[in-house]
Amino acid sequence: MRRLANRRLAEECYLDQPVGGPVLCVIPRLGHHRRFASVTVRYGSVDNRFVPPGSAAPVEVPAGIAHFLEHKLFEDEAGNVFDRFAALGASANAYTSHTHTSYHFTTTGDFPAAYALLLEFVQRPYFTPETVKKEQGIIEQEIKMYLDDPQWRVYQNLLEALFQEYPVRLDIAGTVESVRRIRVEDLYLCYRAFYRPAQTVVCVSGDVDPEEMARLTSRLMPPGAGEAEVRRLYPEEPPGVAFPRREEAMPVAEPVLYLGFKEGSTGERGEPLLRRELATQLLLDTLVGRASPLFSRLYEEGLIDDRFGASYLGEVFYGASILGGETPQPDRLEEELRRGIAAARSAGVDRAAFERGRRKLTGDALRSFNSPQAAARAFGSGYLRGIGPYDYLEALDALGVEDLEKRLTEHLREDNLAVSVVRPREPAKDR
Amino acid sequence: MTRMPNGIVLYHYPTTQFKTVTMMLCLHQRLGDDAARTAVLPFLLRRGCRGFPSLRDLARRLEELYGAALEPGVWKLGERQVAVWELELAEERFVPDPGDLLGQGMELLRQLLTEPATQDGAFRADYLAGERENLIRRVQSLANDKRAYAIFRLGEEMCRVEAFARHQYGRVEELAALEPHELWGYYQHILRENPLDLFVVGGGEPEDLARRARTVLDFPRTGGVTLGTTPLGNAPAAPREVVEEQQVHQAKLCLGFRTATTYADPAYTALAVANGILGAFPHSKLFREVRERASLAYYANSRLEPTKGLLIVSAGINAADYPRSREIILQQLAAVQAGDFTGEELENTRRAMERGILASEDVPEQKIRDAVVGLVNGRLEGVAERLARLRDVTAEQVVEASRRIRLDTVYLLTGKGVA
Repeated sequence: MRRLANRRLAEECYLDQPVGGPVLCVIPRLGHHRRFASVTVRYGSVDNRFVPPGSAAPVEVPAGIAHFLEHKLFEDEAGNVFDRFAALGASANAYTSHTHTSYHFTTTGDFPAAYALLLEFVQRPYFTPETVKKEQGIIEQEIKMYLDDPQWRVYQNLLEALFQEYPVRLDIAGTVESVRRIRVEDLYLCYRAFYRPAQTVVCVSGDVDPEEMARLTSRLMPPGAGEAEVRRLYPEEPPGVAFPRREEAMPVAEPVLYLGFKEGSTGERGEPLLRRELATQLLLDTLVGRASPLFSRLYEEGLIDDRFGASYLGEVFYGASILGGETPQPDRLEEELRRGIAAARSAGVDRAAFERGRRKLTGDALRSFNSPQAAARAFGSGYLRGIGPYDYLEALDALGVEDLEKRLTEHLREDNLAVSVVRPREPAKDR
Repeated sequence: MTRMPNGIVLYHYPTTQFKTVTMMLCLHQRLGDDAARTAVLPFLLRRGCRGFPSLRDLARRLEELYGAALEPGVWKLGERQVAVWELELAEERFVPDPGDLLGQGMELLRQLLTEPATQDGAFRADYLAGERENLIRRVQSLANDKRAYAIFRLGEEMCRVEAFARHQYGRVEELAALEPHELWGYYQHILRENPLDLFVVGGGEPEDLARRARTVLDFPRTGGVTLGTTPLGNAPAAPREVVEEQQVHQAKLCLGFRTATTYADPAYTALAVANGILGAFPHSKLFREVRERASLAYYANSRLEPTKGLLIVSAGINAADYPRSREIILQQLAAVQAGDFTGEELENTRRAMERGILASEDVPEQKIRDAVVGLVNGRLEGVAERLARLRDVTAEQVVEASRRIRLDTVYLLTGKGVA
């Protein structure tokens, strides 16, 4: 195994990457009660068009299938996998994002047994027409829950406004209609195409022995024979946004406003991607972060509160800066934010704010290693984008004001901008 | 635990497990007519103090302290309200040039509490106006989160003649009536008289930390007020049903029960196990029956309010499935009460709860919050004691505790005109 360490963070991890097998990352956390493991598959909601391994014909599957698969893996001939984790004193869960699907558990009990169960169940698909039908009912309720959630709606609407073609514009769970179209054969097709050891990242953190974990992992998830790989088909995303504005009325009390700037330069991995991500995040912090003049003015005028945020989403094939939150006056807030960014474009980035912001991101980096689960998650997300676990601080040190200014003129541009607003449908009831 | 001369009680959990130190100052009050006055304080004091008079000055100071995080908060634990100031700082050993980072952080907390930004001998009117409006919006925006809204409405209906009905931020009209001079007097009073605790996780040697706390937080107090415990209420002879309509896609069903058992009661652990078998986990009856077998819901679970002694079941369903969902939920509780659960269900629940207790040791905020729940209920126990109690619970005790559970109110938030 290869040991990676970082003195400043007082962190270390052990990596193993057998040919054709999963990448294993072990983050030792001596003295912690809880042990955590995750299996992350490079397969998300954007992977709905592909050429299956060994085939020549492209296929398109119903939206939401990666998420459906994630639900369904928790059931096999013997029943519900949650019960087996529970019997081992472990608690399991999973999530599906646009780019990946992740299964994880935490335990304070028998770790090797729960680890074996995790690696086994993700390799054992079992789908029948009855179990698929049952899951359609459950996922329909999940989709409806999100339809009533203004935070999710305003975000989803923004992605639909920003992207013209790229499937990040499709809801991760799909729609009630697309989910009803999913059949057993689709699930097996997608499972066989994407769930392969070589497409998998395994993370373990807690009080464990790295070498022992490597031995266990190679036994439980042996490398696949040199099979053909799936070919993922992503559409070309044209420049410019799909719609400059999306509005939705909901039975809520408080409006929500998000502004999004679509990333124009995509396709990079590793250091350039990390550099872009940090420069943009730091830029957003200096413009609208807690210590910025704009934040305090908007806060003092009652247009925003603690729930306001600004962050950069930096994936390989798509990206966006997203800022906003709940506000009593979405139109005025939109105007203020547009004006504030335009003013920054002519004034440039304040050097002192840049230095303070960099210090803050250093503290954030430290904090992110507090939770073993967050550290493991960060490793997985970084790995899939070609970024090492400790590259962050060095990349941060290497940044200069000019990097931020470059992002300001290249990325935070009016022609990349879309606005999403959720407004109350009816006046809030007096309570 | 160290009681300082001015009555502040320091609870220190030394550990090197984390890269940051977490400090929380907790000011206690009864949940009642003063709710809005107490609730605004953490937010108002975060607006500025003598040394850092504006939000921006404070934000800059926090960035200088290596991205220290200051989080104001308000907790409602039964009928106790707790105003919380949380400061999370990098542990000194992880930053290149720490100086006295911990002492500076503590000093910042002292300034926030004892030297708020003032105007005419009271709180600044503009700061108060802003924070008052923020909290009014936060109370109203409960309607944005339908799941939380339904749970709150259930508690409000169930406890409509009890203090527990209040939102942790108080009522809108109480917030709207806040006034700088009157609030200043109130604050000076409770800062002097009410229980004030400092919790610290990490932060080096206990003696050194206690000395620093004593030196920095030495402002005069009497700490004379003792706050009582939360009274249990009674379920009505026949359960009430409350139905509310909004244009939602998914109906939210909440069932509120009285358990006649609070955290202070020795039978509480058995009740918590009963709740675990019923609905707290993915192996519980509610998840298995309502979601996995009947395919009625994405989420269906139960939770306890330990200080008021309530059990609340919550599920998101199609409106048309209301009668069937309600019936299945009540059947699951009846099964627990009849002792109709396997040894495996009991042991799985015991293991899951054990994991929960141990896991909260790994999360400083959770560890502190657990301690405050214990403190408020007069039963502050360490992990070992809590685990021992859990190990000793028998199936008979679970059944006995569950038989005290009575349905009080059923609340349904349902759609109109939406498929």
